[in-house]
Amino acid sequence: MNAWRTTTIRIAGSHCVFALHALSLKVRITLNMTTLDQLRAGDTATIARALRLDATVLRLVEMGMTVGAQIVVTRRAPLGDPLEISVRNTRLCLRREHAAIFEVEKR
Amino acid sequence: MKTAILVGNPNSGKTTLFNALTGLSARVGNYPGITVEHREGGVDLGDKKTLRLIDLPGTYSLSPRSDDEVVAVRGVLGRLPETPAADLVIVVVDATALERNLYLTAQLRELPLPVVVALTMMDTVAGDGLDFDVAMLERRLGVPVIAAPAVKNGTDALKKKLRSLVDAGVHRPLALNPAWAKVNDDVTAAGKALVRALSQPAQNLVGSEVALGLLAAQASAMGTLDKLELPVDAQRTAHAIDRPDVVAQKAVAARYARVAGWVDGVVGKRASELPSVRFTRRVDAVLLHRVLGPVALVGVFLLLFQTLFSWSKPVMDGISHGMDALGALVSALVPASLPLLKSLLVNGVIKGVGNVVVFVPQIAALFLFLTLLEDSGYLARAAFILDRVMARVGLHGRAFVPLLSGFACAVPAILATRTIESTKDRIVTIMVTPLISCSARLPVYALIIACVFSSGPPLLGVIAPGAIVMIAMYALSIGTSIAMAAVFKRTLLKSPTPPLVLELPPYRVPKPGAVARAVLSRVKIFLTEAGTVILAITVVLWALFTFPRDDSIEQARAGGIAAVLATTQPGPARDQQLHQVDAKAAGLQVEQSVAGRLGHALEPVLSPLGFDWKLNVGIIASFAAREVLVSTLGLVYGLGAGDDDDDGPPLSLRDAMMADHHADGSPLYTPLVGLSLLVFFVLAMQCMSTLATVRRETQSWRWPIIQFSYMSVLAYVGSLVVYQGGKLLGFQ
Repeated sequence: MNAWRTTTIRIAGSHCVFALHALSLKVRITLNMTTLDQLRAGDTATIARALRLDATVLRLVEMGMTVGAQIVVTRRAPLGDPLEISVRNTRLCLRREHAAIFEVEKR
Repeated sequence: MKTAILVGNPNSGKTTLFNALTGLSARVGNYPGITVEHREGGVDLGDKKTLRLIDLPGTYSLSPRSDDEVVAVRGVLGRLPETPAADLVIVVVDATALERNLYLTAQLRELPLPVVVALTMMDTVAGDGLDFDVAMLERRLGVPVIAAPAVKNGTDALKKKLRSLVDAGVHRPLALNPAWAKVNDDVTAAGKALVRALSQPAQNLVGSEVALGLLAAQASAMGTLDKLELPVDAQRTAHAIDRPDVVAQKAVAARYARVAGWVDGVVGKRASELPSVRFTRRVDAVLLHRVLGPVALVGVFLLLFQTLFSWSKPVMDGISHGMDALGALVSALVPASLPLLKSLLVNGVIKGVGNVVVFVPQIAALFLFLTLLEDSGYLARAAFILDRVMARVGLHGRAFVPLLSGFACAVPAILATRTIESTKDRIVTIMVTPLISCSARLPVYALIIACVFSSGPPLLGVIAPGAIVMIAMYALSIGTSIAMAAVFKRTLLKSPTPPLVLELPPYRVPKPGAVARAVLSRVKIFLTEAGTVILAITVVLWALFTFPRDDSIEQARAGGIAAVLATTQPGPARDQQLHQVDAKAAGLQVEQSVAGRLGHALEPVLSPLGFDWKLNVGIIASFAAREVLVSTLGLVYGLGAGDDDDDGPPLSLRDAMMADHHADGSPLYTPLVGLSLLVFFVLAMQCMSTLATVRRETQSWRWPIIQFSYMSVLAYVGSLVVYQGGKLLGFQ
């Protein structure tokens, strides 16, 4: 009886812990997932995916913004748009409308 | 002769390498039917061997987006008119941004091409204290890798290496990417078949066909497949793929993965920030600063404006005076018995040459500026800061420089549109630039405002009505050019707002030789190609104003002169009377010339705008250059042509115009007519030099004709609305 309870608790506990782990992992991922246009100057991120593929996005991908590439947001232009990022040792400028197509994981 | 082509990313040092290799033999050329320019020259390999070197437009990849890139890709594939497939494809790779630059190399290595890699910016790598293992990179790439020298006298070794490569012939190893085997989700059967084929060890023609098919698929994702004119099979492959964009994305990822393997360990690592990077970052902290950046930008453009408007003026005045002196000299040399020849030489040919040469100071100044801004890396920053503003108009940030220069003169401004990558956006900018109120319109504004707006009471006690009118004309000019840019973007030159994909290159000191070369080649092209058209039209205009000749006018003039000589004593009074007789005869002569008759013939068309035949003649003449209106009106009013260079309109002309009346006695020049004429001059395309330049820059008569037509319609409708609307509202 006692053992059973313990076991149950243990099972439930480990389930609980696992669920919590998964939840926290999920929470962490969701919290850190955003689009590139939402980042601030100085933020570092990894590109997760492109939400849409048009000629401009493909060109940006060709210029180094591939999935998994590390980027740093350097600054926004004085009028707020476009923004400047650093990727693969080069500095790229892109408008916020295009930045919004790139989903990134903030670090 | 063997041919080599240079390809590489923009800002990779490709042009510097081209200049170092070809020296003075370089020239700018156009492919037939293609507006994109290329440069080519001979490389002296020694022993009387020359290598023909073609500098293709810069491109980041073989999947072109702009027309310039299409030319680059077609050049690489040997599919340009009148250009053989290259014996050597030299890929210029910027060693400071190795990964991104090698992407293009990875793409080239998939095709059966004799690829050679030339590393540039090696001095920066050395200056940063980094080790660079060229031999390791060469081993991994499987093609020859040459470190291009930074200094000019280092080219001998490079030429020697090129010679050995040309002599031996670079073998064409195919290096298909094994990672392509993974590019297989989400594609249709045709795509899968393509990808399966890609995964085979393809050291044969089939492999190259597959590579071409993928290249076609990527071009199709970019929307430029049709422009590449690839073999039918490759196009078919591309069309059979459902999602070329997805295939393209995967192919890019696969290539970057491959590049990562190539570069691993090639460049030594350093923990701290590299000196070259630090310098650029510090300069940008100021030049791209939220407040200081725009301030610096305004400063730079004020300096440009000042150069175009003021500092080139003395040189231009010097040129016109020189031409006048030359005219006087020729006039003295040609015997008086040949008045027509004298007139042709002085008023046709010499004036025409003057009309051409007078643009040189502004063109040289603008291109000096532009090349310095471009080569130093600042132009990209200016586009970054201005993009928000220009995107509203639907134009690229780089269209700002030409539009601003348009306030000085449309001719250099149109030449400056070269910095805009997309051909459509470039042509939109070219089409609207002449609407920007150039400095040649100022004398016309001044004359008309002096005639009809000088008398009214100042507004608010201080502001002269003339100043208000002047500001209104500039506002009209800017507003119309923005509106017409929007119209062109939506109709004839339909294209989305140019996406900003801009690289900020590190700041570099421009090389004086390269700057001088760029300025000289631009001036040379203008003189030889636009200049000939301008000269021809000047002679035609001269003929319009000279023929047919009426001998009775000449006889009356001779009689008048004889009478003056007989009745008055030598002195200023007599000179003035003689001048009056001459001027009156010249006026009569113009009235019965073809131009004068045209002026009369146009009266039914132009009188609804409030113009009379004299103004019509002035408008015909102002086609040579707008400021000519002033001197032509002087001519038809029988006052003599006067001097165009005088500041402000000649008072006698103003008085004559103010005194001019209609048949019914009402004054000819009312404020309403003045306003109508001003609007006409703001909107009308009255500059053959601009049209000649547009023809040269667009390589066709189509665009200058469209430009002339739409601006004429705008001007006519604008003036009609002003004049008739004004009359309806009760103004005179």
